[in-house]
Amino acid sequence: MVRREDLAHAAADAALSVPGVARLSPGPGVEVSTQYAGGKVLGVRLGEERAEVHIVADRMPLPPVTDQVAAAVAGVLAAAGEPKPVTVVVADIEMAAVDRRVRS
Amino acid sequence: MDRDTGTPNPSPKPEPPAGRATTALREAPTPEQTAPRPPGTAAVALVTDAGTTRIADGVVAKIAGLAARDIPGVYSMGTGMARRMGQLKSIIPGGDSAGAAQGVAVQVGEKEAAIDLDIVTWYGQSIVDISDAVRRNVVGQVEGMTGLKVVEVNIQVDDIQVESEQPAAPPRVQ
Repeated sequence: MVRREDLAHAAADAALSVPGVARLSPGPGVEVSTQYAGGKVLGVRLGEERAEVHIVADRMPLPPVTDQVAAAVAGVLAAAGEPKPVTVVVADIEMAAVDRRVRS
Repeated sequence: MDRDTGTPNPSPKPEPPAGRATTALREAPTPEQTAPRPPGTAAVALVTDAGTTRIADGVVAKIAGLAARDIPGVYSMGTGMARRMGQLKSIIPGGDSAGAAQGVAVQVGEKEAAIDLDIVTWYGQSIVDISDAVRRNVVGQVEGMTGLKVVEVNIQVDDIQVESEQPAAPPRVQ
């Protein structure tokens, strides 16, 4: 059995390993997190039926980034025996990335 | 769930649905521990041919209270009056300051337990997420430590704590 916190951390690591993901975000409104005894993983919400990952992107265009994040997180969940659809939310973008894109 | 031995499968087995007893809370999963237990059976046999083990309500209440408080989204526990009394008790020297069971009501049978929790959550956090995490942790801890099967965990959100609010208002008169 995979502990919930381990799964949430693994999903977060998988998302962060994708180039173009600067960090995960708990979001501006209701905090997006997976809570467990003694802590929480921000930016990842492991629901019963679906998983949500909120990222801050630092690379344009976005679709390749979000596709890779979805694939990476879905892979982690499937490997843990809990396959479920993954929603990727781009919560914010690093302005530096946009500037670079505009200038180049 | 295929359990054939031919293919190397490093990934652990799927997590059983909530409500199952979980014993391997702090250990690496092994096939024996991850094998799903038939529903309705807990980790330890409390009723055996050689005798019966009884677990007091207070024991379950304490474990459940501590398990619920472990979740970061839980600010406090108990109804408004219980929380105020708890504050008073903690001031009185020699008073019962632990109060781990505050906000917890349990019914314990021979093999099963039902738990009611009164919690206070933080403003800005999802009550659904928090209660889900609380329920998971309480079921896991109680079933793991006592061997009782937790049949239900009812959660009442009694209040929400706003970050800027002081836990105890300063006196109006100095």
